[in-house]
Formats: sequence, structure tokens, C-alpha cells
Amino acid sequence: MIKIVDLHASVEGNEILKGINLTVNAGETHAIMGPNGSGKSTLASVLAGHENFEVTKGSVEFDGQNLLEMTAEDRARAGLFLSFQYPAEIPGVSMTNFMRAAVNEQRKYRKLEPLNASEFLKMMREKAKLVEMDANLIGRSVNEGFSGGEKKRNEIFQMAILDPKLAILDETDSGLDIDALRIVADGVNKLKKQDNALIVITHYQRLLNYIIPDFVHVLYDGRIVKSDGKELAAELEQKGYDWLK
Amino acid sequence: MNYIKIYEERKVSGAKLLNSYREKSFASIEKKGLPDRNEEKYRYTRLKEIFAAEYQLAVETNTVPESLKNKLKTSIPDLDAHFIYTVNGVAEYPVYETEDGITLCSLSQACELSSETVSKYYNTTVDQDDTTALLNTALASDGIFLKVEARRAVSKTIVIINTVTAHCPSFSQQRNLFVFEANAQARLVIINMNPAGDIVVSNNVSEIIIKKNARIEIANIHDDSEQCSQINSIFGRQEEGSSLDCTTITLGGKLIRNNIEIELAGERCENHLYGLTVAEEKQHIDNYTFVNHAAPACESNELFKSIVGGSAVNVFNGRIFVRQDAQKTSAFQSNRNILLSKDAKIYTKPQLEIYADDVKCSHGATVGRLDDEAILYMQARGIGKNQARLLLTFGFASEIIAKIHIPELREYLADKVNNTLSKFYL
Repeated sequence: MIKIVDLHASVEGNEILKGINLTVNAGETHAIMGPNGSGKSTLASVLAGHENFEVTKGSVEFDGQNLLEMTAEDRARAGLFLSFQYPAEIPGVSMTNFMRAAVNEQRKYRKLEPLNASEFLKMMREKAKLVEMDANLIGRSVNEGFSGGEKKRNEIFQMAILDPKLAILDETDSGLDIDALRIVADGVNKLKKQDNALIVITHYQRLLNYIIPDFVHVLYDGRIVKSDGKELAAELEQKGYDWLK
Repeated sequence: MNYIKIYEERKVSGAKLLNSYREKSFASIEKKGLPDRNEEKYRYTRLKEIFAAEYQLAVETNTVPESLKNKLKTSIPDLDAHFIYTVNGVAEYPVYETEDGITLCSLSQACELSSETVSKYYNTTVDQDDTTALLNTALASDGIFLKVEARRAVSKTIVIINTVTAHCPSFSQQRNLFVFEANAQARLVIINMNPAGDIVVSNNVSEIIIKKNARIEIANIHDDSEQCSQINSIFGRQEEGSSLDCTTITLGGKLIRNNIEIELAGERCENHLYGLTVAEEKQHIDNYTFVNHAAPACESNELFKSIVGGSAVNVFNGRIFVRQDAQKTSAFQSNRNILLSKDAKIYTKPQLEIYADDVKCSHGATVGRLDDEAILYMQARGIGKNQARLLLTFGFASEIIAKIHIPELREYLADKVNNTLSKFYL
């Protein structure tokens, strides 16, 4: 699905990623953990195509394509999804118009006919039900006036609609109380299939009680310093990150 | 421009009732001259240019060609409304009554049919210091008269379509008088459309009398071709407990100046003024609002937005005046602008004069660019950069369009705005 080789990236001249190697195959769930400032969110932003980050070395192959050469929108159209840590508010743009534009641009890229209004609304309603998205929120402008938890839930709702090949969840658990966390995690689990893959970026282990990873990686100072099975998450919870430095 | 000739001609041909105001107005203009940029109210707009050319008086006719009517009507499909047309400032007639308790006709007819109402209200709201308005009083011969009797709720929207059919540069004056009696309810739409692209300057005045507890919504739309310039003045007076929503949307036109001046003359009035400008190329759009809180416990709320590209200019001057005895006033004003190009200009000037001490007033103005984070967010969902900009800009505009409670009109405006914005991005 995705193959990251020796990825280096910097922002304003500071090198944040110092040689990341990671391969994720279809059907797998990977967790990336690490202390604050280790480069977790930078990795997510670089993969999604954020222009503020400069890739200085390395390669990323996504579904057979050179990801780093693609625009942010083409990455999304090719099936990459980033659930933002801080989703932007888009005043005046309704969730329906936003998602319809997104779905149809993605369909166009894949040479599919656009969905008409009623087909789209039907699909949107089904997905809302699947991830327990409040109908009131759908009628409003994108993320405008949403609470932190509502914004995160909205990210998963968008993920359900766009049905990506690879989803990267960046600190999706931050700011969620335990009930909201469970709803968000349930949504993610329902969307997991054999032909898609998931990268969960998190600081704490608690999300991984709900979304069970196949692999856990520890990111420290721009490099993956340890990889193991799901037991690693529990060990980190107990011992902290210091023993890995 | 030789308006003396027009004046001399009007003194003879105009309706008697209207003629009685001409002389005094004309004398004031002679004394003061038309506004230049030394006048605070017209500081950012050079009116001289539009008055300087040699215009002819627009041809006066009271029949609108059916072909033109159909063209205008079909641009807002499905709108079930009472339509009335003007050409070069002159109303088509006859339409005397549309529903029980409503009189809709030309102003010159109204001088005969409703002379009592006309003489009671004509020229009672106009700012006598504004010589553009005085010029209208001195020269106008016609326009629309609308009266809604007490306690009537007009079931259909009333749509006035102003158009021009000049074949040479011409100058027209339209004078409207709208009277809404106590507890009346109505929705009024005024659309300036000129599909033919003739060079025309219009200097229009609407007087609006809103009596006790009446509830009125007005949409005022400029969808003119690029050759049209217009000074469009709305002078309103609201009496006790009344409410007025007035939404001004300026999409077309070369130089458009809207004067919206409302006196809150009775207690507990509600007033909402909304505005949207989408300007491109060399358009110059100027919105001047004056909310005069003359009575206690009134509430006014203003939101004007603009999206300005090309080398266009947008001006907003919002004046709020709270008289000493207008205690418990709430008055809010906000002006928000998006600049899309380096040559576009925005002038924004809030002007608050408060003489009462127990009031809640605030104002704010912003000039900004599109939010990069929001654009990136949309890109991350597969929406191209330009499409994202279009969605975001349209979202900014749609807040004002949503203030109009007529779905067919909203749809028409949304299409128009989208088309104009598409030119910026796609």
C-alpha cells in the first residue's frame, strides 16, 4: 500500500524527519507512537502534501505511484486520507456541498460518473448512520462552531464517505472524552477492510485499546527507533518513552 | 451635463404634485452643486465623471417590449410574484391593484389615484443635504408607487424590474414611493437589469414609509451590465414597533453608489441592513448607510460584505447616529471584505456618533485574504486549489444571500455570484 524509504523532511530549515522507513500493506493497522516533538504530526503532514514541509531526501511509493510528486488533492483522489489533528473551519460551506465536491472530484479522477444530488444524499445518510454522526452537524457549515469532539467525529464521517485506501489518523483521540473516543473508534473499526490500511498516530495508548494495531512503531527525534507487535503499546504506557532514547 | 434643460422641460410636463417640489430642490442644487470628494459622504467616489458626459434625457416610454419582459422574467424562473417594470425610470402601466388592499402603479398615476397619500408622504424622508437626491426631486417624472393598507399581508412577492432601452448615452431619474400602513407585511424585490449594455446613468430615489408594527423585507439588486452607473438612494422611516430587513446585492454596474438611510422614528423598531458586493475589472461600488436612531429601544444590525478582484474598488461607509433621547439603543455594524488581487482596493469607514448614554453599540471591519488552512483542508479531501478557493469565497458570500427569504431569488443570486467568482478562479 505505502512504502516509505529514508524519508527526510524539514520545515523552515529545521530537519524534523531524519530517515523514516515504513511499509504498510493492505489489511494492516499500524500505530505510530512517540513523545511530543518526535515528528509524528510532521510525518502525517508530509504524506498528505502540506506545502510548508520540504522533503529533502527519500521516497514514498503509494499504491504504485510516486506520492511525493503528487499535489495534495491528487493524493486524496488516489485514496489517501488524513484525519487532521486540528480540522479547519470552513464558514459558509455546508458539509453537504463540501463532501459532494470532494466525492465528485475523486470520482472524476478515477474516471467515474459524478453522483447526482439524490444518490449523494442517500450515501451521506447511510454513512452518517454508520459512524453515528449527528444529523444536525451535517446541516451546518464545515466544522464551524463544532466542539473538539464533534470535529473529530466529523473527520471519521468524512473518512466513511470518501472510503480511502489508506487513512492516517493524526491524534484523533486528543480532546475526546471516553464516550466520544469509543464512538470514533467504533466508526474506524467498521470502516476497516481487507483491502484498506490504517496508520494511527497517537501519543497515548488508550485509543489502541479500541483500535487494535498489528504493529506499533516508536518515533523518536525523526526516526523510528523501535517496532513491534501490539504489546509494545502497553509496555510504553507502563514505562514511558525514556528507556528507548 | 445640461440638466437645466431637463428641468425646464419637467416643470411643464410633470405631474402637478411632483412639480411643486422641483423649484426649491433645483435652487439648492444651483447653490451647492453636485457632490464632490470634499464632501465627507462622497469622499471615495468621484461622481463628477458620471455627471460630466453629455447625456440625453432617456426616452420615456411606458411599455416594456414583451421580448425583454420574457427575458427578464425567465432569468428568475418559478418565482410566483407580482411583476412591474420600469423603462428608463418610467413605470409601465396600468397595474392598479394586485391583491385586495394593495395599490401598485406608476407614481404619476398615483398623483391622481392616491393623491392624498402621495402628498402626505412625498419628499418627507429625503436627505435635503444630498444634492443627488435633490436632483432626483427636481427632475424625476415617474417611478413606482406601492401602498399596502393596514393589516394586509401581501401573499406574493412584489418584484420591480428596472431596465433601460437607450440607444445613446442617457440619463434617467426614477422616483419610487412605498407606503406600508400599520401592521402591513410585504416582501419587495427591486432588480436593476440592463441586458442590452447601453450606456446609462440612473439617479434613483426610493422613499419608504413603514408605519407602526409593519414588517417589511426588501431586496435591492444590481445586476446591470458594465456600462450602467447608478446612484440608488433609499430613504426609509420606520415607526414604532416596525421591522425592516433591507438586503443590497451589487453584482453588476460600472459605478454604483447605494445610499441607504433609515430613520428609526418610533420606539422598539428593528432594522437589519445587509449588503454584498462582488466586484471585478474596473467596477467601483460604494455603499453608504445611515442608521438614525431617533427613538428609544430600537435595534439595528448591519452586515456588509465584499469580494473585490481585478482593479475594482469597494467602499463601505456606515454611519450610525444615536440621538440623546434614544436610550436603550442596540446598534451593531460589521463590514467584512476579501481582496482577491493586488490592484483591488477597499475603503471602509465606520462612523458612530452616540449622544445617548445607555446604549449598546459596536462596529468592526476586516479586510482579508482566503484562509490557507481551509484551502489545504479541502485539498486534503481531493478538492483542487481553485475549486477550494471558489467554494470558500462563495461560502463567504452566501451568508448574505441567505438573508433573503425567497428561495427562487436566492438560487438566481447564487448562480450569478458563482459565475462571477468562477471567472476569478477557473
